[in-house]
Amino acid sequence: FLDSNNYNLQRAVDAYFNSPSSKKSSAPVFDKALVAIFENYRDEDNESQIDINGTMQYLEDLEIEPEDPQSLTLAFFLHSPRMGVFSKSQFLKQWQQYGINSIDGMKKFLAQYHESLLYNEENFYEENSNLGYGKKEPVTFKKLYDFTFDFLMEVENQKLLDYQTAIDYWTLLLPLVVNTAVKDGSLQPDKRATVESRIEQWFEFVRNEYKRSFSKDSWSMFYLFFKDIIIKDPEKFTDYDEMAAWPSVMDEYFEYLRENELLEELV
Amino acid sequence: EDFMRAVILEWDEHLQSMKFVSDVLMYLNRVYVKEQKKLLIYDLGIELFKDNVIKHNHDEVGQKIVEIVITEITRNRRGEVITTTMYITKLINMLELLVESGGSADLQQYGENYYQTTFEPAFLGNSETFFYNFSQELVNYKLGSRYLREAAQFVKEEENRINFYLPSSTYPKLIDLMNNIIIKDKIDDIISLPYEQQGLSYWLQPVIGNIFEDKNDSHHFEELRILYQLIGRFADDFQLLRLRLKSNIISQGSQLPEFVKTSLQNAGEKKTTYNSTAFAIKWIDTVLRYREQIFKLSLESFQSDPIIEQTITYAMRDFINGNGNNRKNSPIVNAPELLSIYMDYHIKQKSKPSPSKDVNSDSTESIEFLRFIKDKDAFEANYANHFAKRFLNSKGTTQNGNANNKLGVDLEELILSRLGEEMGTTSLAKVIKMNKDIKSSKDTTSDWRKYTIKNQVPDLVELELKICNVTDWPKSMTKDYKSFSKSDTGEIQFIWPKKLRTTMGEFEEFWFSGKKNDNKSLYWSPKFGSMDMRITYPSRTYEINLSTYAGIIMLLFAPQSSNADGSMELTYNEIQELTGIPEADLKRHLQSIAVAPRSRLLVKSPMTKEVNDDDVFRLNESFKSPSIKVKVLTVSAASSVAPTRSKPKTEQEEEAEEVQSNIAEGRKIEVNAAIVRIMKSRHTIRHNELIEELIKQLQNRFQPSILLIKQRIEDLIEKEYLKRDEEERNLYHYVA
Repeated sequence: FLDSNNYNLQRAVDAYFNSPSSKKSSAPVFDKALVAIFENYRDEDNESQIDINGTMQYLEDLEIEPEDPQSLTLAFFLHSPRMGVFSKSQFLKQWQQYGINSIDGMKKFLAQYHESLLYNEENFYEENSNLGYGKKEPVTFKKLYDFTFDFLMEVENQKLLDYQTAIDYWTLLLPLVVNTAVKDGSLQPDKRATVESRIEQWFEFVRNEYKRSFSKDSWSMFYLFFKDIIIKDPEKFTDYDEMAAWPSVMDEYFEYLRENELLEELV
Repeated sequence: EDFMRAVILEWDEHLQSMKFVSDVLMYLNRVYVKEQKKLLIYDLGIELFKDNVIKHNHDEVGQKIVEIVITEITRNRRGEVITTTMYITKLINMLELLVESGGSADLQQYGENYYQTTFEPAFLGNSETFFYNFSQELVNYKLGSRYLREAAQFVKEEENRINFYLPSSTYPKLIDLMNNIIIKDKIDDIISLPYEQQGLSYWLQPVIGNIFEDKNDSHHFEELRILYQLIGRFADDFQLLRLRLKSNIISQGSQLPEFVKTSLQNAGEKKTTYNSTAFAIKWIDTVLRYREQIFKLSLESFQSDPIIEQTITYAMRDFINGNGNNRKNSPIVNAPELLSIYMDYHIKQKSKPSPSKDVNSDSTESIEFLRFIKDKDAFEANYANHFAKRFLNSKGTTQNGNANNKLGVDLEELILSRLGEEMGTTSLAKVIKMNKDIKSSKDTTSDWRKYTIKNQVPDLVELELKICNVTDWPKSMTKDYKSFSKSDTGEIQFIWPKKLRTTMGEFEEFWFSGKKNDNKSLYWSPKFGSMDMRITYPSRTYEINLSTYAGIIMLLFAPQSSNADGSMELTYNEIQELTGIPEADLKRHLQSIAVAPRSRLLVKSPMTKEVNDDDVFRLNESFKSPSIKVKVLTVSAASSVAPTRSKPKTEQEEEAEEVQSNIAEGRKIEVNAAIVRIMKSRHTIRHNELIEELIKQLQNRFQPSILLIKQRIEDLIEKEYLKRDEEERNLYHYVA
């Protein structure tokens, strides 16, 4: 390396770390049993990923229904690029990280991981390149929620999520948020029904009035809106402020509720 | 009275004797008193008088004096004549001299006197009750004007009274008391009295009455002036008056459209919509007159107080833009559009042969009105639209160097420059460019004329050119400009008559021969403009001016273009095939020349109002008109659509809608640009600050709604110009 870089030490070191051969040598050796599991589900035409058929099989073996929120957690955990697809590198890396190499282990781990996410226990950490190399941050439900949006993007450069799909996934995700809120005491159990009817009204509004697709920002902000406004005071939305930076769809929702007299008037 | 006289007599005598005593003991006074720091003899005497006479027997005499004086003043307040004026003054003087707490000599001039300790509080207390009862009594009359007058009268008298009787130290206290009780506490009730009880709404009524009923009601200047003065007594900023005035003006202003409508209906206008020309003119005139009236009022009654005039202006702006209190309801009147219609009307009037009114004052009025309009961009768009139409539809008159037309152009320029002063030239860039197009069109026309004369090209139709740069002219007019070109995809193409084609070909050659037009393409648009034709009817030969479309239809019937003799017939479908004029336009123009009673150049059978596909047209042999020159007016788009066929929108509405959507589109771009501009300099900004800043930047152009701003922010987040902070949702970052 020194030869090829004119004895410039700096460049030689760079070249060493950048050269493909060095990467290969430092690449982790994956557990054979784990690789075998991957190979079991792998796409016949593409050796670096699992496709939809493999995914269905995989879920079945893990005893997870495709409609179960856990399937979303799995996709999130394995950094699935889009629905029904797992990449080989992430699959191996993520499971290896926790030393798991059996379907049974995966089943147990996933259940734990899912619980932790739901209640924001912050038992698990993920690298986040935004924070700097190797920095880790706790995995939270919000991350899973935001991930869902990207996960649902079907084509390159898609930026909007059509509202029907959005409603489907809210149906899956929002009850989890409600459960958590009841459990951690931020929502009184007797107000649960009100929150649930708010969700219904949100869907009605989106379906019959709004009828447009959602941007990532609106999707992501709705989680906060749901948590900070709806759950906090499902009857009156006390903390709602139309001057705050909520995306306009929430303002419209609020107006919709008010016009249909579904909101207890603020005093 | 007798008592008062007795007391005063006693007092005078006492003073007199004290003076003597003091004179006699002058030496004592000078030496002993000073050394011992005792009271001077004279003062001691007064002290003794106080203690032994006034305060004798538990203040009996003193109380009596106070009581009597107050009773007398109260009687005077009630308007009774009292005879004791002199005594009162004297007594009060006496009371003032009676120094309380005669301590050491140094203190005596600062010491409180009997007046301050005893008389004043009693007097003020009494006055308070009196003022209260007095004002209550007046309020009970339930007549605003009466209250004002009497209160003002009373206040004036009271001031005199106080000046006369009482020492200056009491004056401010008493005035304060009076202002508070009689004016401040009551005046709001008075102002807010309903019309029948003569509150503010009653005093302002003549403002409207004068405009509509043409009778010259005298204004309630007097009441309003009193009101102004009274309120000015306790509040320099006239907060209350401004508030009430504003809401009154807004409510009056919001009624104006209704009044205008009814008055138009009374005048015989059948269908009056809120955006018809008649309505626009009347409404704007009304508003201007309203303004004139109310400022006259302000001059008479409020001394043209700048704070109040500012309030008036704000109030007018509010009702003109229709966002008084109910921001949800969209305003019934669209001020920017109406102003544009108004100006259009006046400019057209001015360019006609009878230039009557002063152009200048008229445009000044328009500009005054423009100041009230918040959505200036909407006005611009409408104005540009009307401007373009004026130009395109104007009759060709350059060949005879018509002075009137020149006046018209000058007028346009004059107004344009005034608008430019008002709104800044950048916002008018399009109209200014359009104006340039007009000038260059004229130049091209005259160049072309020279060219034809020089080259002696035979068989040409005289041509007056109107060349427009597509990008600068309103979209609603230019959107389909390509559809008339020859090189189009071959859909419904417009077929130019042969007669015109020669000329057009020749012109195209001329157009491209000059260097300056190298990179421009030329499209002919028959939608606008007009033609002069000479048509020989059996009775007479007429010179007829008609729109291009109509002219082209007429050319079909000209003997030159057919082999048959004069009596040729064409069906609607044939005409459409031969010309390629779009259906709606064709029907409209056929109505203009075959149905409209004064210009029935063609005969249509069957003779119905509507144009149907299998109608047959032929030349109207018996056409007659009183003058040789005939101008065919094109039937307006709205009325060409028969009511039975319930077409959802007329062309006008469609156009208005288009203008609206153009405005909305333009606003989106402007808001986006403003956001990016702000973010570029700030990089990171809070949501509320951003909105504030945006409103500040854009308010000269229009009033951006919060919803619009939010949508634009979302749009920019989507386009990744902006990023929401991951932790703080009210914070945005600029993504470079």
